[in-house]
Amino acid sequence: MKFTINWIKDFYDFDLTNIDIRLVDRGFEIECQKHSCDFDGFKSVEIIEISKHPNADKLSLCTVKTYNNETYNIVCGASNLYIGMRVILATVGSKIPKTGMVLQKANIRGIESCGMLCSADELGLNIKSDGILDLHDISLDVSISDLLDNGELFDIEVTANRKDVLNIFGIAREISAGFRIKNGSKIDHYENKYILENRENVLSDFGKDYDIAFAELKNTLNGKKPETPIFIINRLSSVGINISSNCLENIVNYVQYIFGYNFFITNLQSESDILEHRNNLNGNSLNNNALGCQTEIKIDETMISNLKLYLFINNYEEQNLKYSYGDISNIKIAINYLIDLLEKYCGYAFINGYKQVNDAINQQIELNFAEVREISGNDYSNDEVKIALSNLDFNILSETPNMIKVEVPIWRKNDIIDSSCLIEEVIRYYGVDNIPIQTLNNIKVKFAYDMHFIFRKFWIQNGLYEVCNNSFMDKKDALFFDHGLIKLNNPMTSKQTYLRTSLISGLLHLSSKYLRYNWQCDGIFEIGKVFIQDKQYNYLSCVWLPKLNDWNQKPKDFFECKKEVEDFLKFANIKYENQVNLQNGCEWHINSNPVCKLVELDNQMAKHFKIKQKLFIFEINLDLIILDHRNSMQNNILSNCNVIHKDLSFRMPKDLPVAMVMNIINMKFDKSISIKIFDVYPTYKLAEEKSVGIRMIWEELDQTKTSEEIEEKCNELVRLVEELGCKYE
Amino acid sequence: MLHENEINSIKQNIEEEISSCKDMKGLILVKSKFIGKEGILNAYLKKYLKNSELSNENKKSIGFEINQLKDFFNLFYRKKISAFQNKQIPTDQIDYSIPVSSAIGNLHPLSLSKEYIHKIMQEMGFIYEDGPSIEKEYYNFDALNISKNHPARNEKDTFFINDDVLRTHTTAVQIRALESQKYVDEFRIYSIGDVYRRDDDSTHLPMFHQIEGFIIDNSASISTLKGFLLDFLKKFFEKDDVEIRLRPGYFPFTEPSVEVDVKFENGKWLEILGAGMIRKNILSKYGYKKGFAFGIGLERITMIKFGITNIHDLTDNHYPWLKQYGNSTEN
Repeated sequence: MKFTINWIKDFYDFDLTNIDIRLVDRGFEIECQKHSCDFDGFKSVEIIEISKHPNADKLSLCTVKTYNNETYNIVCGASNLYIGMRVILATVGSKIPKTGMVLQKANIRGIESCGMLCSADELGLNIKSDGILDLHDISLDVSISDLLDNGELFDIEVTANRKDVLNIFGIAREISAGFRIKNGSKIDHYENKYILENRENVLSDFGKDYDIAFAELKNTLNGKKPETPIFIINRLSSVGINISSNCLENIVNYVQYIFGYNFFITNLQSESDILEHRNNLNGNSLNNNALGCQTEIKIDETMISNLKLYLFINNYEEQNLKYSYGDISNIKIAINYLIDLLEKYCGYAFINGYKQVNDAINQQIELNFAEVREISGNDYSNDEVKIALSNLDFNILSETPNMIKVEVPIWRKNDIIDSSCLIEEVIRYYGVDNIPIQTLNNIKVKFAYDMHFIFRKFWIQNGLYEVCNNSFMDKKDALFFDHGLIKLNNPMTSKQTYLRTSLISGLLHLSSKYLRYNWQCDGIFEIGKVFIQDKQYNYLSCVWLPKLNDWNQKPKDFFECKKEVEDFLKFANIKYENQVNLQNGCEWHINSNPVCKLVELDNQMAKHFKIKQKLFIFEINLDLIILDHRNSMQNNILSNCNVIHKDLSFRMPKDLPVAMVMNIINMKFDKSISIKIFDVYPTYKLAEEKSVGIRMIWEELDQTKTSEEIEEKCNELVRLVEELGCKYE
Repeated sequence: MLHENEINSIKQNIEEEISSCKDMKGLILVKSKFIGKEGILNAYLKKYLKNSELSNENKKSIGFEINQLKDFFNLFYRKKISAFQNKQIPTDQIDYSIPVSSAIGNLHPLSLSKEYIHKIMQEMGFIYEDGPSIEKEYYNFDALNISKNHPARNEKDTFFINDDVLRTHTTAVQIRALESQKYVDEFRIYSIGDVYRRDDDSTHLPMFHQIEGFIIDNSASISTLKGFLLDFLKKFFEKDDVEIRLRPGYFPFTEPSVEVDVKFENGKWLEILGAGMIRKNILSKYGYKKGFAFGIGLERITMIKFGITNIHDLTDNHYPWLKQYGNSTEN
């Protein structure tokens, strides 16, 4: 929702300091805040002389005069100039709003130009016209900053519950709360400007779902086409609404943006047209316009007949409707505001009107002062609560020392439903962030170990890298994993046709990429959810990748992979009944169900995933094994979970065998810490200087180690290794 | 008789030349230079033996002296060879001592922070609960006050599967936990899980993860919520000077609701989570009184913690990236 500061100032007199902070405090996120340009150096001028440029066909020389009779000579390329035309002149040194360019004195084909006559586009107005903006009969003593809004522009995000602030008046009402200099809005006098007959408790012309206000206006135009006032064009442009060539339409859009009501406006006289509109509304076939309203204008410009003006409000909530419903608070002001503009700028005159509004029952809520303090955790006094609510236009109906009863303003009736909502209003009024911090006592619970994390650790210790894919499966991949597919009703792309029934497809896509880019690692694995028929399982899946530059120069074969799988099954204490041979691998069974399998990538899949190398794939259903063996797992966990690592790196001299270093460490160093080599670089060659990564692992911790203790041990190891001629990195 | 100076200078030459040898090849050349057939010592021998003026006794003693020089040479020569042998290992000698299975892989950053959060939450007294990813509309929407005509429920924002949805938030777990009536009085529940929304652009993934937590406690208030969140974020980011800011927010299932921003080193505030007091109508349905709930995007806080700038890196799984951002331990 976009608005400018000057626009909201039209409705309330209020203090505007720190407006951005206040918007945030009231729950509106500022998406964009733009300082509009000042219009220093812009002047409204009248063209008093036009002559042709001596050296150019398409340029003309204009002499313009200001209100103070200053004259300027301008070279201009536009074709819509005429003597007596009133236009906007940007003098030398002024900044063009659209481009941000500062205007300089220019010599155009031998003739000096002291400024530029502005087109609508250059001024940031949304009008589609090529020529210079014609101000028509505007008075020359008007300053441009009065004509064009130079206030700050905000774009705020309004949460779904606050449809009442999706209009200018609503924003003004909301941010001025608590900061108003005068009570009441500046437009209250519109309420009774034109007298509308009260047809209360009569079924509205639009049916029971709508409240309406109606006016009939006389056309006094005599065929003349009215021009849209510049300030309306300017404001609609600044909030991004397209400008129509029709003045009436622009004015209706303007009023609609201010109040958020729907209009139906017609000069057709037959009842059937109104009936049609009504049917469209009830049948919901009417599309929302650009402002999210159901406004419709049906004008036959050839007819000079009375204008019928309906303002209507939905009394029910509708999914796509952007604007508030059931808020009848400004119904009379809004229609009178519109009539006033139409009289001023469009040549219509008010004849008569009425309003048909169903009795609205205002919601009443009781609020306990103690509850406010309890829920917020802040010590608001009773008076503070009352001040906040009444400044937000809640009417305090009754009061006791412990509680108050308030009436919810009609525009908040869909949003404020219980005392918690009122508490939220109070908290926001005084700033959510101003609530002091209280600490919550920690309670102790039994620590539950995450098996999946332990499994992850096993595989990374085997040199595999963990990856993370999403749960979707491509339509084409699904051909290979087509047991129990679950189809999405509304995927965004074909990649999301199904939920995955296996982790393998994702891993193979990655494998293909890894091989293509020659990324050298032992393999990749993933732990994630898969969806088969109506069940979801946690799976673990690994793919071993051939490592071309592996120092022992031999890609893993099936049985080496199987060794790792068997190690894993032992590690996780998974007891299986038997193994079954498959065509390209084998399967492990528990309770006669296949639980995991290790296979070689078959030719068809290899072709589909564009993989030329030999790959081995392991897949296990973690839910089945954990369910069966949860108890026996417990013993293994402690020693694997409560572990601290510390990694050190050393530069070792030539011809010092790594094993010798390890032996000495194992002999002389603290036995409770296991020492492991995790990296040797650059090669395995004995005769080259290499850097070696040594990992210290504290296992079976009886008590937590402090960082000092760990530091001390590290230093000890560094000393020991350095004695052997190595260098700590 | 050889002149003593002559003998000494030969000895000195032998010593110098042998010690300046750098490899076997040089050493062999030196050997042939001194004691080869055409070597210096043989030349002496020939020279004196052919001299008929010398007496046989003199010849004998000269032969003895030259033999002594040969021995002298051989002594240095062997010493040098054994020095070479001790020092020099052929370049293709392999260090058989290097352990074979030494490569260690990396965990995905998301797993790391997931595990990290498991630890923090359990330390703070939370119990883990999980729910299905394919969720009934009731748990995902209706029970959370998200009415039938709420925009989130249309086909543009949510994935549907037959009559069910792919859960759009883990808050569904909250309803399941409350409904189960497993917990009484005061308790704390958390969940970490996959959630799905129909968004796929530079800052959104169609599947992401949320951390959901709530407590039912008589001391629950906006004030203790703030204290709790600050505590959690300090632990997660492992910093003591975490600064947070509360802003008003709106969620259909909490009231009052807040959004929480965290301040970063560059002075910028970044929105990080949403929270609030659980709505009375939800709690009273299951017989509970007061509590607060919060939801955090796992991707977002992981990116902040590990300094990741592009959310799509998390699912691209490129090896160089995994090497850089992954880790083999949780410490």
